Amino acid sequence: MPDCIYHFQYRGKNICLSAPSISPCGACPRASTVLTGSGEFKPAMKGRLKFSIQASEAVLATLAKDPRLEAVKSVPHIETMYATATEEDIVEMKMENQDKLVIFAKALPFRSVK
Amino acid sequence: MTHGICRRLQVTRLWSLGFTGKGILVGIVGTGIDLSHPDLEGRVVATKDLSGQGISDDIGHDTAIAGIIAAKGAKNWRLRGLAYETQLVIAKVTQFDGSAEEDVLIDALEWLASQGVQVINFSITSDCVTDGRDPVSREVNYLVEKRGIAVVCAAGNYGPAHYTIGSPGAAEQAITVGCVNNQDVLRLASSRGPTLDGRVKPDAVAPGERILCPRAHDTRSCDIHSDLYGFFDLTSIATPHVAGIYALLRQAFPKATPQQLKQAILGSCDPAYMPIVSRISSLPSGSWYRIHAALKRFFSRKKFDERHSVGYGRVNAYRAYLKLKELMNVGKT
Repeated sequence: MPDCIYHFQYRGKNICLSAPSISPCGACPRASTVLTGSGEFKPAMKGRLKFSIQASEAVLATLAKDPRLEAVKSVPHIETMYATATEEDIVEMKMENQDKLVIFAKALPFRSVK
Repeated sequence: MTHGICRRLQVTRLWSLGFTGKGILVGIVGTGIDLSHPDLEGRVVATKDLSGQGISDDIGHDTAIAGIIAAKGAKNWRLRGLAYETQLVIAKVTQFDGSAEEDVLIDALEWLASQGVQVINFSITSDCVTDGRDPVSREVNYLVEKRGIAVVCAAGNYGPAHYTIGSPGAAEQAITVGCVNNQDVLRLASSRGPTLDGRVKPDAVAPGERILCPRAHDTRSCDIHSDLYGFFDLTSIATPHVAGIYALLRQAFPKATPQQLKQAILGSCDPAYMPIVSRISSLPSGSWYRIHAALKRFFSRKKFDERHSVGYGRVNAYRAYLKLKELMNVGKT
């Protein structure tokens, strides 16, 4: 089952970073229901995750200095940065920077289409 | 790539006008390439391995795609690609299991753009359904809008349910391609729109059933025809048909913008049809009193189903050429 890119776990709760609340965003149940026939979430991955942050250049520059993040790659022309961090840190950072971030999501898994 | 499909898509009429893709660079993002295949010898001008696995095609996916676009027909002229005089630039991004990471894909797109390609074939999709705001979709939009490079994306094979278009097929500026069988009926596995934010996708459909393509050495991901060829299926194989047609039109109209070319390709499609099975499957079973409601739902859904399943229809190269000629003339006057 495909993982939801906005879904994280935080202190035993499911957190959606797209619609910041404890409940999932509009995309999650629709996407997961269509693809699997069930509305259940796949448990989020443990350990350090690779994820993308979309925000203004100034915000990205500030975030890149945050010790909780390990910057992997910056794509300035689409205002995006890739970084790795633990799930707890990601959720905390999202809460701290609520208004400044456009998108904060897990990196998508891709596959050649057979 | 059989001559019959080129005739069906009216590509042969563009050949007779002298458009064979000469001078056009096509980029392919994917699983690598078998450079020793006789149909592709001399066609590949640059390669880059971003996967760390070497440029060879261990899966056989992109050798087939390269063949649909640019095969020379070395063993049989009837197996030429749609734009058989184009040149290819290959970026390998996938691991041995066909998976790829998002930031590697962005690197690949950037590298292809730096090589001067005019169109990119992208037959890789994400497992996650998106609304087109993910980074790869935004990178695709950036390449089309700011760099003038078209990106032709596979819709994916997660059908027949709606809302199954992943990234980068969900990108607004991408030309997203589903697949039909040899009777122009949509294949059940072809992913369907709309996107999560309600836009129409796929944009068009192309043949994706038992397409005879070059087979990479020692690969078995297809129905094997011979040492050098195999039959391939579904949306990843439909996508290069549109990329090839785009290359021909780009050669015919070098000054046309990617948006004009997309408009011409989509505005000149032939009809494509929904499979009867998927329409029937949307009917609930049960007692007679439910039939009226079911029929009502069936007919109201039919239009929605078609629009978000086959897009504008099955591509037609010659009609797209005429449409573009008309568009360019209107632009002049």
